[in-house]
This record gives sequence, C-alpha cells and structure tokens, in this order.
Amino acid sequence: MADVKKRKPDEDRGLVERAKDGDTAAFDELVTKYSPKLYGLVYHMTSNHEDTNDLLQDIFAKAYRSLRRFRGRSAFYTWIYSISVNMTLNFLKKRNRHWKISLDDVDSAIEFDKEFIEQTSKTDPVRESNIHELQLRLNEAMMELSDDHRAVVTMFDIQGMPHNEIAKILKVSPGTVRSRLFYAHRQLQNHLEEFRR
Amino acid sequence: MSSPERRTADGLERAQQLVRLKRYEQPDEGYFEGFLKEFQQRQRADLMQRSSRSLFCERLGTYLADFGGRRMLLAGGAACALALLFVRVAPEGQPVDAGFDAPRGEVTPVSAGPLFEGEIDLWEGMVVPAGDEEIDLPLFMVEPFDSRRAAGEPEIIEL
Repeated sequence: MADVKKRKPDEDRGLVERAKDGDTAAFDELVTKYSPKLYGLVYHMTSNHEDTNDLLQDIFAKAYRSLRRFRGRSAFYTWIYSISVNMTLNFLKKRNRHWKISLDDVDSAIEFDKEFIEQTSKTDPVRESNIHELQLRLNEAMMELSDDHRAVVTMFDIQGMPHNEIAKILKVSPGTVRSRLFYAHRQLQNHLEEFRR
Repeated sequence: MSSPERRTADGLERAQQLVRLKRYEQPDEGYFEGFLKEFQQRQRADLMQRSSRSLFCERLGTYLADFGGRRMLLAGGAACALALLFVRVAPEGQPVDAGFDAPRGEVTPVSAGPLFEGEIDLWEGMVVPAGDEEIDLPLFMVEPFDSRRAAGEPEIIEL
C-alpha cells in the first residue's frame, strides 16, 4: 500500500510524452513496468491465466492506440488501470455465466512460493488443510462475488491500493468503494467459514 | 465490543487475511519478458493485417481528437444552425440564389384541353378522329361497350 501512496502523479510523464511522439521503446518501458501489476489485477478478476494473457495484450494495444488522447489530467497509472478494469469487466460480461473454476485454473507454482508457505504456516487451520484446496476455495469465493465487488477486493486486499485511488479508477466515490468492500468481505467470510481460526 | 460483534469482526479480518494470500499467485518465471515480445509481434501483425481504410479512420479520429473534438462538434452544429436559419429567413416566393447562373426564360402556361379531338366508337372500341389525321391509341384504353354491365345486370359468364 505504501508503494502506491508514495507514487508521484506524473512519474511516467516523460515516458508517456516520448511514446506519444512515436518512441516505441518508451511505450515498451511502460509495458514492462505495468504488466506485472495489471497481470495481477486481471488474473484475480478472471481466475484464468490464458484469458489474462489475451486480455492484457488487448489492454496494452488499446492503451497504445489511445495514448494520444491521454491528456495527463490523471496519472498514467490511473488511466491504464481504468482501461484495464473496464476491459476486464466487459470481458467478464461476455464470458459464459456458467463458467466454473477447475483445478487446472489453480496456480500450482504458489505451493513452492517461500513467502506463501511462510504465511500459511503461521495460521493453524491452513496448516492442516491442503494448500491446493485452499486456493481453489479462495478462487471460488472470489468468483462468487459480483464483478464490481471482485474488482474492489482485488485492488484493495490483494494489490494494496488505497480507497481514494480505487475510487478514481472506478470513477465512484470513496464511500462507494468502502461500502462495496464491506459487502464483499461479508460474502467472503461466509464462503471461507471452514478456514476460520 | 460484545462477543458476537467481536466474532464478526474477527471473521471479516480472517477472510481478508485469506484473500491477501492470493497476491502470491504469480505467472511462471520469465513470463513477462515473453509477454513484451508477444506484444511487439502482435502490434506488428495487427499493423500488417489492418486495411488502409481502418488505419486512415483511426488516424483521422486521433487527429480530430487532437484538434479538439468538442470544438469541432460545436463549430459543425453552429454551421448547420446558420444554414437552417438562412433557408427559413429567405422571403416566401422569392427564389434562393443558387449561387450559379441558372438558365432564365419565360414559362408559358399550358391549358388543360383534350389530348385529341374526335369521338369514341363505343361499339368498336376505337377512336374516330374528327379530322383526317389518324390517332393511334392502344385499344386497352377503351373497353367495348357492354349494355348489360351498363344496365347494372349481372354479367353472363360463358362456359
């Protein structure tokens, strides 16, 4: 969260101006800089790696085509996040409503992530349960949320963004963000009841 | 804080803790280097596949956006309004100058007289001209006289 708070609103200005002038290397730098963050955003909203990859390609292509229309009234970071959220929400509307998470969609690499193992071993019930099962349930719980609620949970809880930054991206009030978060947490609590301490 | 409230707060906190674990889900190592290469390839392929027309439209859109889309819209609207006002204000009966030299001449009124002079032979279904000239009119224009139909009697159908 601290990382996001410290961010200067115009830190990408130079790169954006160069990219606007046709410097493709400058845009490549922006892609390199933002692809991990945006990957996280899109992945946690879609719960599917392939969809995430395709969507992320489309998001950067769209941003590149629209770059000259970007006036710099907001930070580039806010602008590209808005594009990503909107495109992902549109994608989710089109995706089959009967889409279900399978074990194939669960990230197997996480089981070997040192930080993850450390975090999960601190908590008693999780120690007893299968990490894979926990991941599946987490994904299921996330996908049970409405698309709008999942977006705020992803940005706030998973990506550590502050309320007012999320509000700017979604073009809603910070109060709306708080209320969506409260409702989403209540739903998540019900779905993850068995993993309670 | 009472016990049920405390439990709810703990439950919410626990749910958030669990969801935060998802931040450790990352794509395979080396994915992002490959991602940039794929992006560059797709951009190039897209540029090759798209028609020159769509590229032109997109560039025009960008140009207009640079120029100020709203200002363009306002200017266009004002021009339309002025054109409509001009048409309305022009005095009734007076032609609006078309802006070029239209051919001028006198218009002679045409009387609504008969197209030909003569009689129609109802028995033969043909035109008998009054003068010497022959008038060639198609026969379907004049039907043969049917006395039964004229008297309002039912038509006899021959089998």
